Amino acid sequence: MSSPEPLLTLDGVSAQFALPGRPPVRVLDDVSLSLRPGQVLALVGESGSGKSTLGRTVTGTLPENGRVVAGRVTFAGRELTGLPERERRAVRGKDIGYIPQDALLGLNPLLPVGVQAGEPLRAHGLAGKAERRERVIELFGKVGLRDPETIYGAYPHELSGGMCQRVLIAAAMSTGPRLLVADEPTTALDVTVQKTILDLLGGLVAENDLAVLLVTHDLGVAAERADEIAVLKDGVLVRSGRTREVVADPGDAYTEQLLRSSSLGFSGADAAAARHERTAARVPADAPVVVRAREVAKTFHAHRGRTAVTAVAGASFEVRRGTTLGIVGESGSGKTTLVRLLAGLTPPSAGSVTVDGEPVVHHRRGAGQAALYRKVQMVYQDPFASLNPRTTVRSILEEPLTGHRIGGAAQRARRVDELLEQTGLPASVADRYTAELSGGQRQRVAIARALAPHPEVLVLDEPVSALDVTVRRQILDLLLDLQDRLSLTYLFVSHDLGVVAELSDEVLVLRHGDVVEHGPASDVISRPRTDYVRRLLASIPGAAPAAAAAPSTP
Amino acid sequence: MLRYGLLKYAVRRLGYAAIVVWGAFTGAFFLLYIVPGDAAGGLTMGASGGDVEQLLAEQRELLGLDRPVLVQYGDALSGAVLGDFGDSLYQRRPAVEVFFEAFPATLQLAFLGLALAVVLGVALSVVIELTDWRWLRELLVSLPPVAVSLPPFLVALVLVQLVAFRLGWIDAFGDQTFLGLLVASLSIAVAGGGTISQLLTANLRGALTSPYIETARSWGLSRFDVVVRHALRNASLPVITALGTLIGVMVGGTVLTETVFSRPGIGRLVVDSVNGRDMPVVLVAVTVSALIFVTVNFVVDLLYPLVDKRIRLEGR
Amino acid sequence: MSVTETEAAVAAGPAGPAAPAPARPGEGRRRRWLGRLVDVARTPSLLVSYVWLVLIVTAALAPTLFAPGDPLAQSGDAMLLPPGPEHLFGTDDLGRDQFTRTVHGTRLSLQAAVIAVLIGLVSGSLIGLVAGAVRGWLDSVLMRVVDVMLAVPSLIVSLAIISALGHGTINIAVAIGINSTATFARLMRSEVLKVAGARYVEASVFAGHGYAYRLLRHVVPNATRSVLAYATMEIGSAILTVASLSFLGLGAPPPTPEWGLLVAEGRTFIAAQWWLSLLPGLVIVVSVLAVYRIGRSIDRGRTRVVA
Repeated sequence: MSSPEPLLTLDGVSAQFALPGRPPVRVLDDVSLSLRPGQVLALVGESGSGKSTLGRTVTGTLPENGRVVAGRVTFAGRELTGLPERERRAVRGKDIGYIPQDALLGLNPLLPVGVQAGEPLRAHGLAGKAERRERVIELFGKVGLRDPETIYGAYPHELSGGMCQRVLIAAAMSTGPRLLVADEPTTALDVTVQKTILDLLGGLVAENDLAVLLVTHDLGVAAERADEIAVLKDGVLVRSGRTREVVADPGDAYTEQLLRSSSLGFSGADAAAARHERTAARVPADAPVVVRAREVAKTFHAHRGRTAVTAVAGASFEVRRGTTLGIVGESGSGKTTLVRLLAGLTPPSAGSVTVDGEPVVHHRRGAGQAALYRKVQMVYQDPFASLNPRTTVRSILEEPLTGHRIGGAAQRARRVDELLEQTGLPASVADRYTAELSGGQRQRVAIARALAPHPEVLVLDEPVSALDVTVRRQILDLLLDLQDRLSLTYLFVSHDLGVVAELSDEVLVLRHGDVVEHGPASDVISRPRTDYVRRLLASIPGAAPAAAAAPSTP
Repeated sequence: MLRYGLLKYAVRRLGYAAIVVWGAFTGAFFLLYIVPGDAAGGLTMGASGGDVEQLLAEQRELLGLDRPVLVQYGDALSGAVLGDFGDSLYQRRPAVEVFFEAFPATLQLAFLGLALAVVLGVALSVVIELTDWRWLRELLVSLPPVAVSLPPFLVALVLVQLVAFRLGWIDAFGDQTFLGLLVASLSIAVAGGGTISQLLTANLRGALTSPYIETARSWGLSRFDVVVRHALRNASLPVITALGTLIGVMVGGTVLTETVFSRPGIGRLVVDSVNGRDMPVVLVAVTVSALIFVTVNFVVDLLYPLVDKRIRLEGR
Repeated sequence: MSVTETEAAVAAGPAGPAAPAPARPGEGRRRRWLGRLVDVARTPSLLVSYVWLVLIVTAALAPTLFAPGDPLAQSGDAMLLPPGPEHLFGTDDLGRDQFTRTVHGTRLSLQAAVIAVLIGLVSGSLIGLVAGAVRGWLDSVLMRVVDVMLAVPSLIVSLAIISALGHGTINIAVAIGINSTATFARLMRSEVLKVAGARYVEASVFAGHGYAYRLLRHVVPNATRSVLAYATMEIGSAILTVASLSFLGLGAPPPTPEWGLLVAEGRTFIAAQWWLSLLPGLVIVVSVLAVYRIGRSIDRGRTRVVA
C-alpha cells in the first residue's frame, strides 16, 4: 500500500537558537529521518530534547531566533530548507498540516472556531467564504463533532479540550495535506479523551494515506500508535527503527530508561500485586487509622449563588498508618477539591475529616491550623509555582522548622542537611535560589519542605504530572522509599491510574464529584466493577491488553 | 433573563458612576473651601491697609462663607445636582455657564487628540511587527519611550516654532482653522500615542508568542494576517481598558496645549481660576472631568464584551 | 549525584537559559548582584541612563561643580546670545547664562519629583497593602476612594490641590504626591492579591507561621518589586508634571531657576531664540528617558501605562 518513495526526508539537519549575550545553543545535531506516506513516525524525547524544534523545522515555523544551520529537509521531492518564506508558506498549512500541543490554548480565544478552522482554506485561496463554511461544517462532522452547525459559531472557551483538538484536526485536514505534524496532540487532555483523539488520527491516516510525524514524550503512545520510532536526546538521534524492533531491543541506555519509565506493557494487576506485597512486609494489618473522612462534601455557588455546583458529593474513607490512598479522577472530577478539603485549605459543606482523631479545620488566614500542619503536609503539582522564587532552598526548608518551633539554630541547620540528603539533593543546593534548579530538583525541595516537621500524613497533589517521564520515575521511587523509611501515610492524587496502581493500597475513583469505586487497589484494578474504570484502564497508552479486563465501551 | 441581568448591570453601573462623581465633587469641595485662605481671599487680593479685614468679612458674608461647613456643603451639593455651582467670582455669572462656554473647544481638542493617539499608536505598533528590516524596527521601537518622555508643553512649543513661525501654515496665537486644531491636538497625541504604542507593542509581543499564533502560522497565514487578523485583536484588549485613563490624560493635556497655542478652552480658564481661587469654576472642572471619566469607562465596559466574548457584562 | 546532573542538562533546552554552573554555597546573593552589574554594562542604553542619572543627581547636590557661576547674575552686554563655548545654552533677555540656570534648576526639579513619588509610594503602598491584605468592607471603601481620585485627570487634581495649598514647587510636589497615591494604592493592592493567590503563598500555611509573618515574608517582597519599578518610572512622570505645572506658573516664582519655569520664560522668544526653551526642555526629556529606562529594567518584561 505504501509507496517505497519517502514523502519526507531529513538529511543531517542541525538547528540552533541564538540567545542574547550567550553563545548559540544547538538544539538539533545532525538528525536524519525519513517518512513514507501512510506511515506514522513517532518522535520521542523529553523536554529540551529538540523534538518540538524538529517538528517546527518541518513546518518551517521556527521562532525568530532559531535557524537551520546544516542539512536538508526534503518534502515530496522538493527541498524545503532555503526556500524563500513566500514559497515555504505555500506548502505550510496546505500540504503539511500541524496539530499543536494544547488545544485550548492553540485556538484564538476571540474568534469563533469555525472561522478559525477555515483559515487554512482562506490563506491558500482554496475556497470562498460560503464554501469555506460548508467545507468546515462537513469536516467538523467527519472529526466526530456533534452538531457542527452550532459548533461553527462557538468560541473556544465554550468547548472542551477534546472538542478543540477535533477542531484543530479539522483545520489541519481541510486542505487535504499529505503530511501531518502532531506536536504532543494529547498531552493536555484527559486520558479517556486522549485515546479517542489518537483513534481519530489513526483513522485519518488509514483513510487518506496520510503520513504523520507524531511528536510525543511518551514511549507508550509511540509504541501503540507508530510504525517507526525515533528517540531524541539533547538534539541527537539516539535510536530509530521499526517500532517492534525498538521496543524489543532498545540497544541504547537512554531508550531503555524511557522504556522503563513508560507504561508500555504495564499491567495494573501486576503493579497492584507488587504493591500489596511491599506494604504487607512493612505495615501490620492492624495499623491504626490516621485519616478518616466521613461523608465529606463540598458545594460551590456559582453565578452569585444562583446555581450550586457539587464538586464532591460525599466521600467516606479511612487510611491506615504507612499506607497510601490513591485518589483518581479526570479533570472536573472533584479530586482537587477533595485534596483541598483533606488539607484544610477549604471548609467542607458537610461531613468531616479527622487526622489522628483531631478534626481538620480551615481558617482563611491559617489561624489555629498550625497544630494540624505538624501532622499533615502537602506537595503540590507544579514545583515552579509552589516555591517562592525569591528565597534560597535553605530558607525554604527552615521556614517550617521555625514555624513549628522545632530545634535551635544549630539543630535546624543540621535538619536542613538531613532533609537534603533524604531527598537525594546535593548539600550545595542549600544556598541556591529555586529559580536556578531543574523541575525534578524543585520537586525534591518541595518534598523536603513537606518532610521538615516530621509529619505523619503527606497529601500529594499530582506530584509527578508536571515532570518529564524519566524524572517522574525518580520522584516516584523517592516517594516509595521515603514511605518505607519514615512510615508515612500518603493521600496520593493523580489522573493516571497507572501511577496510582503502583503506589496505592486503596483506590478511590472520582467522577463528576461522585465516588464511583472504592476499595483495595488490587480489587479495583484487577476486577473493576464499572465501565468507567475499565475505560480508564484501557486508556493507559501501551498498557498490556490484559490490564483491560473487559472490552471498553466507547 | 438576559434582559434582566443587563438591567441590573446598568443600574449597578449608574450607581457606581454616581458615587464616583459625588466623591469627586465632595473631595474637591472640602479641599477648596476648607483649606485656609478661602475664595474671599482671592477677591480681596490687591486691597491693602486696614480695610482688608473688613472687606474680607463683607465678602465672606456675601458668599455665605461664614456659615457652618456642613450647611455650605449641603447647599452646594443640592445646587450642584440641579446644575448650579454658584457664580464665578470674577465674571459674576453662573460658573457652569462660564465653564460650558469654553468646554466644547476643549472637548473637541481632547477627542481629536485621543483619535490621533490611537491611530498613531496602533499604526506604529503594527509597522514594528510587520517590517522585515531590522534597523527600521529598532528605530521604531525606540520611538514610544521617547514620545512619553516629551513634556507636552515642549512638544507644543516645537510645533508652534515649526508650523507657525518657520512654515507659517498656522497662526501662532489662537488659530481657528482645522489645521490649527489638528496641530494642537497632535501635541497632546504624541504622549498618548506613545503610551498606546508601548502598551500595544508589549502586548503584541506577548500575543505573537502564544500557542494560537503558532497554530495560525502553521496554517500558512501571511505575516500580515497573523499580526492584524489574529494577534492585534487580542493585544488590543488592554489598550481598550487604558482608553478610559487616557481620555483623562488628554483633557489634562489640553490645559497646556491651549496655553501654548493661545487657544480658547477650559485650559486658560482653569489656570486663571486656580490662580485667582475662583472655586466655583474649579469645582465645575473637577466634577465634569469625573463625569467624562465615568462615561468613557462605561462605554469601554460596553465595548469590551463585543471584542472578547469570554466577558459577560452581567458577571462584572 | 548523577541523577540531578542529567535533570539539569535536560532542563537546558532552547526555551531558556540553562541553570548556571553549580556554585559554591553562599554565592547565590552575590552572584545576583554581579550579574545585574554585568547586565547594565552590556546594555548601552541602560549604561547611558545610569550615567545621566549620576550626572543630574550630582548637579542637584553640587551644582557649582558643573556651573560655578551665579544663576541670577545679569549682564547687560550678553543678552540673548546663541549657544557657544562661552554660554553652552546661550543667554536670556537679562543676560543670564541659561546653562548655569539649568544646572542650578536641577535641585528644585528633582527634589520636587522625588518628594512627590515618596509621598505617593509610602501612602499608596500602605493603603494598597491594607486593602489587599484585610479585604472585606475596608477594601471596598478604600478602593472606591481610589476610584474617585483616579476619575479626575491628574493635572486637574493637582491644579485643585495647588489652588488650595497655594503656589510653590514643594506644594506642587505634595499635590502630585497626593494625586499618585491612588495609582500606587491600586497597583499595590493588585500585586498583593496576585501574589497572595500564588501557590507558594498558599503552600506557606503548612509551615505553621502566622498570617502576618506569611504576608511579610512571601507576599510583600514579591509584590513590592513591580511597585518599586513603577515608583522609579513615576519619578520620570513626576519630573514631567512638576515641569508642566511650573510652566503654567504655579511653581516657584521667577527668577528662581527651575526646569519648567526656564522653558516657560524662554517661550516668549520661541520664534527667534528657540534654544532658550528647547535646550532646558531637552534636559527634561533626557532625564525622563533615563529614569523610564531604568524603571523598565527593574520591571523586566512588563510595560505599564506611563501617563
